[in-house]
Amino acid sequence: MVLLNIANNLEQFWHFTGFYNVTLEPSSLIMLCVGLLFIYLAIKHDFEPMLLVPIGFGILIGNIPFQPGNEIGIYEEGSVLNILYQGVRQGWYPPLIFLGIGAMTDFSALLANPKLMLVGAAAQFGIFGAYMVALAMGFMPDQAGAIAIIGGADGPTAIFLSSKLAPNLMGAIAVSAYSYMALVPVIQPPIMRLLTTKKERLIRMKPARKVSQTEKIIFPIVGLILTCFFVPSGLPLLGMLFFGNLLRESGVTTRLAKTASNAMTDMVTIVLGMSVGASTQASEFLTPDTIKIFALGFMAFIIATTSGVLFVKIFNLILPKHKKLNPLIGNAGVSAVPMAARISNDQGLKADPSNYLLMHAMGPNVAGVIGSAVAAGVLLGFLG
Amino acid sequence: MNKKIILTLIAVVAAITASAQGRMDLRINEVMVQNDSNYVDQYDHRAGWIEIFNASHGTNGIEKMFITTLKPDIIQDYFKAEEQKSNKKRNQLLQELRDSRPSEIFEIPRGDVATKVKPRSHVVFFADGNIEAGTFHLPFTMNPGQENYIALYDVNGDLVDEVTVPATLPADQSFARCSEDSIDLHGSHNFESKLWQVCDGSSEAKAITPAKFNARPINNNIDMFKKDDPSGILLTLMSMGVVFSALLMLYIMFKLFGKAFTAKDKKKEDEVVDKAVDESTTEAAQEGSNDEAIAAICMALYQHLNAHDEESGVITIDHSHEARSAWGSKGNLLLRVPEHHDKH
Repeated sequence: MVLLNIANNLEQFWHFTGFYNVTLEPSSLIMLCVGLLFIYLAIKHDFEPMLLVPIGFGILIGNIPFQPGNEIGIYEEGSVLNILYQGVRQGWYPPLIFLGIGAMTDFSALLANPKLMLVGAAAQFGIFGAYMVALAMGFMPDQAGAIAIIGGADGPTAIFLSSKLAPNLMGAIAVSAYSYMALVPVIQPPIMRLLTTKKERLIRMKPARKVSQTEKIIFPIVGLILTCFFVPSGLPLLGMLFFGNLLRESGVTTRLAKTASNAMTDMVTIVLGMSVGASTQASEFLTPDTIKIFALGFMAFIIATTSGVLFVKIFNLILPKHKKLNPLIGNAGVSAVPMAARISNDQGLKADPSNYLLMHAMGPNVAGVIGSAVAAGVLLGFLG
Repeated sequence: MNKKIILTLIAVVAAITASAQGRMDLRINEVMVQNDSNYVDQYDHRAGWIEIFNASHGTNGIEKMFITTLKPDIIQDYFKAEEQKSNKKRNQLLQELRDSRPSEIFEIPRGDVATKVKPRSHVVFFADGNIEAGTFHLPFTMNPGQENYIALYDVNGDLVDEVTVPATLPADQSFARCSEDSIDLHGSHNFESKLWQVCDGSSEAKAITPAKFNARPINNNIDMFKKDDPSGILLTLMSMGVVFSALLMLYIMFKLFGKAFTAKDKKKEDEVVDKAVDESTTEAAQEGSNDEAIAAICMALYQHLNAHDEESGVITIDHSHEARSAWGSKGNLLLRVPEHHDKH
């Protein structure tokens, strides 16, 4: 009798274990491998480790098979993971990340040469190009908009918009956006080389002028008012971005700016990355739509890079000779800061070892952050 | 002095904001005058009912608001007469009027959590003349076969919404807004009969819907884009236009700011140069020790050519050991003894 009880209890325990539950949901193993791949890429190859380690580990957490009903899983109401996931689901984390980005970003490269804002605007065609392709692939307009935002190369923006327009696709969109952001050094350089001539890559840009502190203080205030009057739906992102920047530049809130850019951003990044990773449960994630989303995301990055570089080339046709832009900064119009600007610099140095493009590329790069937030606001306005 | 002005301004703004905290986004949405076989209350009793809709996207508390059958001219005349006598606020006057005509004005009581109406949600009041039955029971009843006027006043005593239910409304039929989407929160709150219809339950469009939406909420945008812009070109053109316009405005603005600030900086620099070539300064420089000037020029050149950030521009030059160095003076190799200063 005792032995029978023990056997029953052990059987019950066996049903509770991951070993048993994985037989019911074997696709979890695929997701576990994806999680391990993310962690490997981050640690071994230094691909966006700040993002891929939390996301990769989150994928492991979210895909350990378990028996539902014990308030463990991320989709089970009341579980710890579910509570943390609300920040993603309701779109609380992205604006907080934007506050940190604002507090970290020096917009002086953009202010010194404001025409670079237009490069940041042009690269947003990656979003809308992908939107058209997504519609052609059979997605509904709101889903297509949520997927297309991957082209902005901005993880928080992608999460924010997809949580509003297509919450069921958010996990795939977020992972796709962060994956391609990590792969910017792989995706962008061949396109940049393909679209530019040797002569264009050698263009030396005029050193930027000095930007006064007053200009830096005025920028977030005027920036907020101008952009948000155009796109009020972008307020959560743009408001926090410019607020963070004012904390940085005002000179009287250094302590707040430091907290926003360091401790707070780190905390939100950890929770955001982990929750996004954990939300990719195999049953929700391994669907044909996810493959389509990854394909569309890749396409969006290519379109964004292409449109940025081509815009600079076209822009050069109307610029005087001494003010010409190096088309290698066009790729930086996507908002993967500062990775995309670093790619511009690397490619510039490959063409001419003494031509440093980093500061010039930071202009379109930070304009891309504003541009993608505006684009997200526009999509939310039209499709929300 | 400046602080006083700022504080006064803040106080004025706060006062204006506080006085504006009415509940102007609540609307009377559907009314049934004679209820013989329709919606029942918590005691399974039937009575005429009034549905109020929170048209905003935030929770609204309706406590201390007023529901009345008194025509606006009676209330306005009362306000006018009483305001001339004293400086009492309208909500106080409305409370006084309620005390004198308790069967015609109902003040929604405080303390019931159910009076917090969620965003885009409805709440139903029963016009059964029995306020003892609960928060959502009114002290008056409605009169079948007659015109029934109902008005909603906010906590400040300002009219929020009003409706005149036609006398011809049959039993068990409601008088309702055609759709909640037609509500214009910024427009007039006056009753517009064209936005209302008699609902007899004969079709979905004419369904009697207490505590529910009169018309099924739809997302017009997505349907519209799906139908009119299947390829997405229209949305792409519009969106790129908006993105470019927003950033173009920023470009123009900061181009102008840049020009203005560059001109200002140039003016400042010119002034500094003028000062620097001042006779006495030149003489001082000629007298010897121009190492400091060279250091300052080098620093300025470095900053001009290399730096994007503005530095303080302060250079500290320590002359205390310029004659000796660690190469030639043993003293420079030793730790310095802290100097002791007596306070006098």
